[in-house]
Amino acid sequence: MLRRSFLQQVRCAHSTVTENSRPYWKKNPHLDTIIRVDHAGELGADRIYAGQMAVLGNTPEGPTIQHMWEQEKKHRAKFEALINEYRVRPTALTPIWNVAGFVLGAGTALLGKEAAMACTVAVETVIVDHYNDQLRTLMEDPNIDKDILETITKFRNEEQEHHDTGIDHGAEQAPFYKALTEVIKTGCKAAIAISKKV
Amino acid sequence: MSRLQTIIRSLKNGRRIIGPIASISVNNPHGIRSYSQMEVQKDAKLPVPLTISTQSEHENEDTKYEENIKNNILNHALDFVPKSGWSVESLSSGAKAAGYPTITHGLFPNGGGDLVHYFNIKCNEQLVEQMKTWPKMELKESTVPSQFIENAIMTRLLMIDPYKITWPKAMAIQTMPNNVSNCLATLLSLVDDICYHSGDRSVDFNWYTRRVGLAGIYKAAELFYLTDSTPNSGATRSFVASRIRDAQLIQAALNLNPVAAAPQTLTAAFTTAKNILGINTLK
Repeated sequence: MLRRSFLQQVRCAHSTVTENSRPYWKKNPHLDTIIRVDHAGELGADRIYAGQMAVLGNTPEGPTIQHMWEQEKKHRAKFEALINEYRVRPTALTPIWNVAGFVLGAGTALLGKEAAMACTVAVETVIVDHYNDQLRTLMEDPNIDKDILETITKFRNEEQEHHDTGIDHGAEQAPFYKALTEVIKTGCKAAIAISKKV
Repeated sequence: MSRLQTIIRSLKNGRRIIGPIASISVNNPHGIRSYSQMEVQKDAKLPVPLTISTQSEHENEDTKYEENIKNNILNHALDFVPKSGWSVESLSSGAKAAGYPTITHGLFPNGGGDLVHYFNIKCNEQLVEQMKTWPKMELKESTVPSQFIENAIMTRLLMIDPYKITWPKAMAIQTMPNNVSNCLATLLSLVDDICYHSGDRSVDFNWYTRRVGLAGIYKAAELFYLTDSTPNSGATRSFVASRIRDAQLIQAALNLNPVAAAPQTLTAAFTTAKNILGINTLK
């Protein structure tokens, strides 16, 4: 409660929240949380694919992963632009997500290509759900930001494609598929919950 | 026989059956009235959202009106600060000057704290307006816009100039527990604005280090400025410049490649060890 009121004060004191400039925090109080957590998520996804490429780069799966990685890089760049445009505070845990993402990607890739694909499937499932939740939140607002809505919808569809690609490439044949995906999903959900706040 | 039994049973159960009914009518004294009320509510349902929205608009207008009055009083109160300090007396005099009864200072439960807060916000806004007009520099990754930051800090410090004698008191007021959050908020928004307008577009942990470092520099410079009696605050300016240089050095050291820096680090460690053992040949 105290923390919340403090954040409120920070926003009120912030000079960009004047009448004419850009009253975006008044427009939608969830917007800064959304941009922060999405940036953290795309950063993590980018690092996961980097880890997978480090291990599986020269295998037949290489081009597929490379393609998905390129898309994630674009997502990350877009959210970095949004952070600057809306002057959102980036998450303080970027160094941790940086390392954790790479370790997760490289670690699952070392278990074999099926495990790497299972990791992709688990992560993308959580992210698609998460984007859908955000879209619902944004839709509730009568004067929504069209640009952000379209961006998130587009990214949601691409993440869904990655999920399907993972299934097509035999994710379900991975060793301990159920346990592996459940653990990764829980980890991703925890990371999302933390990145919203910190 | 069976009829008799059913009659007896019904009499017995009667209490159970009739009881609740009676209790309903007793416990619900609204009885019939509630029906009519519901109908009225149904009819009234359509305009209800409209009245709510107009109410919130009214509230918005009311709060805006109140804010305007408050800002008007605070603005006038600033004129009395050099005489009576960051205090309730200034607020009373300000209210009087703005055409309200002196008792209006009750609008500000924090007293001097609210006055200092208003002053900080006003200065920050002025600084942002000024910074928008300053020339933008072409930024490369490694360079720090030290001139821009130095100008920003000095401009902001010189805004305190008319109140320099009373400013130590204001700094003391800011550290009181109920004002700390306001003070931190204005400081954070100040350094955020300076970083943003100086061209900082970092989206990683540097975002935090730059802002915290700048906040430290600003607060140190503020303390230095209070005792600075040189013309045009030249000493403060050189103080700020050297603190920014220090920050640049630290940043350069942090960005140093560990492998490239290894010989230097080893030499330094070796010299330190020699000094500790007392066998330094350069003595």
